[in-house]
Amino acid sequence: MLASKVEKKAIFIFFAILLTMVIIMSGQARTPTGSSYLANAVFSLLSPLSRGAHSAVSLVKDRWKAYIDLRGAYEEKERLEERVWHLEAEYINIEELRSHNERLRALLGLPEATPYPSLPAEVIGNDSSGYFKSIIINRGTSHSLRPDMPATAPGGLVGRVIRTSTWASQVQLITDLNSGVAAMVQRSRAQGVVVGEGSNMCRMKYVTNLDDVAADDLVITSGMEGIYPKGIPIGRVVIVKKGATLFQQIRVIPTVNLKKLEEVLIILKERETLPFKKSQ
Amino acid sequence: MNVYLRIAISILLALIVQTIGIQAFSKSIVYLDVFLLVVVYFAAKQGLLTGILVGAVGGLVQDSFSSGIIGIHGFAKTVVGFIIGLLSSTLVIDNLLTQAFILGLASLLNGVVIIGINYLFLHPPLRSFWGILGYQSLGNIGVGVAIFQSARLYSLVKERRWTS
Repeated sequence: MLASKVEKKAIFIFFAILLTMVIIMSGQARTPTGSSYLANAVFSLLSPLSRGAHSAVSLVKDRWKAYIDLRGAYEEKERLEERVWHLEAEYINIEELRSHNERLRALLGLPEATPYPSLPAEVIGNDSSGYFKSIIINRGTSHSLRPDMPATAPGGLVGRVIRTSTWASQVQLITDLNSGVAAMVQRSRAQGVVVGEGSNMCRMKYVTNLDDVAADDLVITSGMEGIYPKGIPIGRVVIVKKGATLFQQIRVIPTVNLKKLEEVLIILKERETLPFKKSQ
Repeated sequence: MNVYLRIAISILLALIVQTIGIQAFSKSIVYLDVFLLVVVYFAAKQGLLTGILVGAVGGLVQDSFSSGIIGIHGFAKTVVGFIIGLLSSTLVIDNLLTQAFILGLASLLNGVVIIGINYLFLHPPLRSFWGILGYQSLGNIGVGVAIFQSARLYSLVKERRWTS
């Protein structure tokens, strides 16, 4: 009798909790950044724990690494010096091209492209679930980070900030199942949307069969969604298939190795309000 | 130690291992759901009600550190806590095979609920779902059985000390 009473109570609590979860899930459809207050509160409360644990583990790992690295320090120095010479030569070329570009833009009367300020951040953690792809970084609202700011790394786009606390933030990777980036093929300017597959690959959707896309084409951001600045490399086309439908099936491999991220660069750019949203 | 304190510490430990584990220890932690292990352990040891509550709280903490829909892990872990809590009253949990069975079942339920809800929200299906689920089930069964057996050994040693 008592056991069945406890079970009845448990079943009632079970359905009440499930209903609460459904309400929480459906509530997100209304918030623009796709993040609920409850999750933000828990993230703010517990992210210092992750940060602290990461710092402690890093300290031990860094000491050990410093000791190990000492052995190959001389060879590393030689290799880096050679790399610096190469990069200096490249820098001179880039500077020349930049001034050339500025002169041409002035001649054509094009507006000057203003680079956004950026902030480096260290990756301190990964997604808490194996089904989704995100990282936790050691910068938050105290460093002027806001949701929807783009994250990049040497080589291209990483993702966007989805949740912030005072000292840490969460960045959704472009390979995440729920990620979407307005994109275009650099060579042919064919436009589409790059969505994550939940693995280490992405798909480019809504590119019509008439558009010119080939394997090894570079896919870059188009800036159409108002989050990412135009022209950041996303990935390279690896497979193109003309579909039976209107659109081609295109698979893209990110230019950045998202599995080995240690540092990212956050572009301090607020989300732009799109023209059709302004009128609403 | 108080059971609520043990639950809280377990959830916080799960959070640390799950979020910084890949950076700090090994990449294979991606094939382990420590939150699920906590839910299964407490549901099997403490029963239905504890299983449901640990599932809900642990799932919401996991949601807050994941890029999925908020509530998706909370929903899945509550279902897992409920089912394992129900099974714990009929199965002998100390048995090694039973432990492997409930951990495998929990991993399957968790994965199917998460991807099912994601699909209901019109998100695309996960391409490598069965691969991730397979590896995660194996990881959860391996580590989960080790945890169950260690806990059993610990309680046996404690009992022996008490009687002597």
